[in-house]
Amino acid sequence: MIFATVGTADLPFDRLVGELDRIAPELDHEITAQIGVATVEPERVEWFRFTDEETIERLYAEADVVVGHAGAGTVLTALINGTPTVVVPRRKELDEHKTEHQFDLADAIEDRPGVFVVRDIAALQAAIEAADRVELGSLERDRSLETFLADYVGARA
Amino acid sequence: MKIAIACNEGGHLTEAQLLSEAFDGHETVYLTYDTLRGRQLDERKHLFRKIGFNPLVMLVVTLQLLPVLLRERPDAVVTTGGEIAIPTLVLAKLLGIETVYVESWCRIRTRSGSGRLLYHVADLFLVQWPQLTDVYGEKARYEGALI
Repeated sequence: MIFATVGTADLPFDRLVGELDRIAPELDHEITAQIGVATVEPERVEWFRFTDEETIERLYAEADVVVGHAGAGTVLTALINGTPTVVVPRRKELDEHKTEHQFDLADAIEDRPGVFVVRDIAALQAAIEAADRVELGSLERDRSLETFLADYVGARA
Repeated sequence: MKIAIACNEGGHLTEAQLLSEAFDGHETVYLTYDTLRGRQLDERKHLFRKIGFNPLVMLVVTLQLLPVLLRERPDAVVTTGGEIAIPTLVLAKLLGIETVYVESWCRIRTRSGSGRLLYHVADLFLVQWPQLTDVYGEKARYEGALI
């Protein structure tokens, strides 16, 4: 199953939703798309705009591939779940986002296992197919930030 | 100990929930926005109207936060940002509550709006990418990242 998500941002990400819908028949998977405030409504995939937390968690857990905008929440959740992730940064010039900083995140994580960055939407299908071939183990996290915070707060408060 | 966790919706909330592992064993209360996810949050919480860039809503939320902080009396306020962090940390600071700002994981080379303002306010200012410490200044610390 492919789970596609554009996050909860106020700006539409029609470029991703439209292309996903276009290539859907070529992909060998059931596809569910969270489309947020997109102005295009897909015709070839199951979709919804927003939903409850439980459903979202289940979709992330069941997905073989996550296709998402390059938002921190989306990417963190997908990678922590150990799911290969296609990351599509929103572009400011196309009014998909208020800044270009999704590209910074995409650049910074591009070499991590299971991450496939799509800057030109025409490359979406190839990226999804590549992500589909990857088997990721569960993500090892060193918890150094959490440990630091726990110690800091514990000592001071 | 009681930790208040202030955050915007979306990725900010996701990061806050992941980070909250740091506070296992302590009491936590969330200060976040009144969205579907906020309402479904299975935690002690207070929900506020989204501020965005609206100064009037910022004022209203500030006036609503004050009695909440006075009643809750947290030992520390930790934020993963978004603009809700601004009135929350400023009020907390004025009330003598320990303040911690954690810049978003998506901020690698550029500062967030709330980060830029609260760099001068927070007792502890953390970034999740080491290169961002130079962009912010001496006070910014890198002590690891969510992933």
